[in-house]
Amino acid sequence: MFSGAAEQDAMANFCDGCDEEPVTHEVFKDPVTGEYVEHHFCANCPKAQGMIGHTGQEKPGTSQVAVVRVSAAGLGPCPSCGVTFARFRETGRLGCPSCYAHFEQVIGPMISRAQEGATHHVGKLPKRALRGVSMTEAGEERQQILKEVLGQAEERARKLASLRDQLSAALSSERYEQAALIRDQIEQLQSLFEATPDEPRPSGDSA
Amino acid sequence: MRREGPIREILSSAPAWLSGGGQDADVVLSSRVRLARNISGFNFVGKSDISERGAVMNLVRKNLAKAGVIAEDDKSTCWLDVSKLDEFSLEALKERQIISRLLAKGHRASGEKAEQDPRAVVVFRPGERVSIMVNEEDHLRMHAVRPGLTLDETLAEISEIDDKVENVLEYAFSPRFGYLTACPTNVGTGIRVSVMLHLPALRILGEIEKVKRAAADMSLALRGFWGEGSDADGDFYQLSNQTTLGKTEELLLSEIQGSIVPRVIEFERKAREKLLNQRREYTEDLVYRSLGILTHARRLSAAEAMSKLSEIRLGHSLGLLQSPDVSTINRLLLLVHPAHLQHAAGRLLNQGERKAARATLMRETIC
Repeated sequence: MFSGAAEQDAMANFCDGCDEEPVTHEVFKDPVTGEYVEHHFCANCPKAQGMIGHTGQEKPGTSQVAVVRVSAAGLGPCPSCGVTFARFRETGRLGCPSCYAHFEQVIGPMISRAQEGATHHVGKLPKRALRGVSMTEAGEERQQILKEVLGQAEERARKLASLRDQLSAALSSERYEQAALIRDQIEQLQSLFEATPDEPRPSGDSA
Repeated sequence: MRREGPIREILSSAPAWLSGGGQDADVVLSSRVRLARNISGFNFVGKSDISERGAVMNLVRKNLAKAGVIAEDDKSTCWLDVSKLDEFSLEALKERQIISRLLAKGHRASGEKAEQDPRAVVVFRPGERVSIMVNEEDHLRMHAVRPGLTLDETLAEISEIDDKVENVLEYAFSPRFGYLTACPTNVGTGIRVSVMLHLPALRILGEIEKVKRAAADMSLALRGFWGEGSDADGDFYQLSNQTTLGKTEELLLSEIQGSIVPRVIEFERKAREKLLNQRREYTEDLVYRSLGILTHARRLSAAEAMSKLSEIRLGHSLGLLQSPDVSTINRLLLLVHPAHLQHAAGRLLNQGERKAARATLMRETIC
């Protein structure tokens, strides 16, 4: 059913079936029942019919391909730079800043695994965050700064929660110098957040 | 072979990080902090074509001048177009740890020739305490390095430059992921904090594995003298953070400077005491034998020279040797490498000639 070339070129950028479309699905042969190989298909490839199922589910009657994973969740290439998820997997490098937002759903957990479970940045903030604080009027630029730098309610809460977890860990292991640094950062972020309340989005999705 | 212009000036003196000074200099050779940054609105370097890389390079050059980070008419900073340098100069800059292998090689995507690839490095002189690589893996890779254990000041210095650059250029940033980098392993703070440790006694006593395990337990990396993928030439090890997201820069720094490094320093010093008190004859033999080789050999490989220099550096810290001093030993650790040897000789040398030149350098410097 599959050519040897497709097996060898497991990290191909383009669909193993039609060789034209970018890869959106990865199919893994069950490592228990047979040799472990990967196949890559675009969203509509006829050769992939009967193989692409749902994440982690076994497909009945196909012992040859027991484990199926939809890896890039149907995400196409980054609209800004054209990098595909498969290309990222091959090189380990994203193509542009917009890739982070475009692939967030799939790279978020990967980043977290590589970063001791961390999900959110809590360090240095660009200076434009401070410019946002000094703006008293809720104009478009201020809104932009909130969106691009400080984040909105959920991100803010996650950042503070992450720092508070680190603070308790530092205190319980008697790393007082580090605890003081973390406490400083919590205070700094809190005052920044208080000075720039998370406002309703222009789309009006909150009351 | 004598170089002209900025390269000749750079090669004519040793970088400040090899001065042998600073806190805990018996064990800590240097402290280094790197920030990775990208400019908003452009693809990352690996996905850019030549014209986009050229645009980024021009934008960076113009704005570093505007921000007061580089001064065109002032000799304290020099801008080097890496693509215009010859192989010898590239090798010399790599030996000084000013540029990386990737910057030296360029991005050879889609048939481009490396010499056409727009990339640069800014070197701060004298002392080379700061350098900024342009169009390496990220648009900007800014480094500060100082002798001894001085991470706070090193971070402060590079942060100040980062702030100045940010006054004139908007960095790619997201509230969730922080500073956005081409490789997600650098995302967040974009920081790498590292210290170069000299651990000869732990190696001699077979205790390096314990240091490696302790580093791994703290999610820190222990690499060789030349960084990623290198061996521990001359018993030098770089200890650095691997995590860049979810912790502040100060916390990442304190996890290294305030916690593991003092323990490793203590561990190495205890091992040195043990060598001196319990295995004195063995240790004296090792140190004086190395000194003998360095002062009498007629041919030396770079690896052998690094290894023997490491052992006399140990001898110096144990009080077994007064001369050469630490700054001379540190300087020799750089001068034994091919591009520096050839610069001193004023001509290209083949491998055999380099071995002879290296041995001559040692005999003439260590008396």
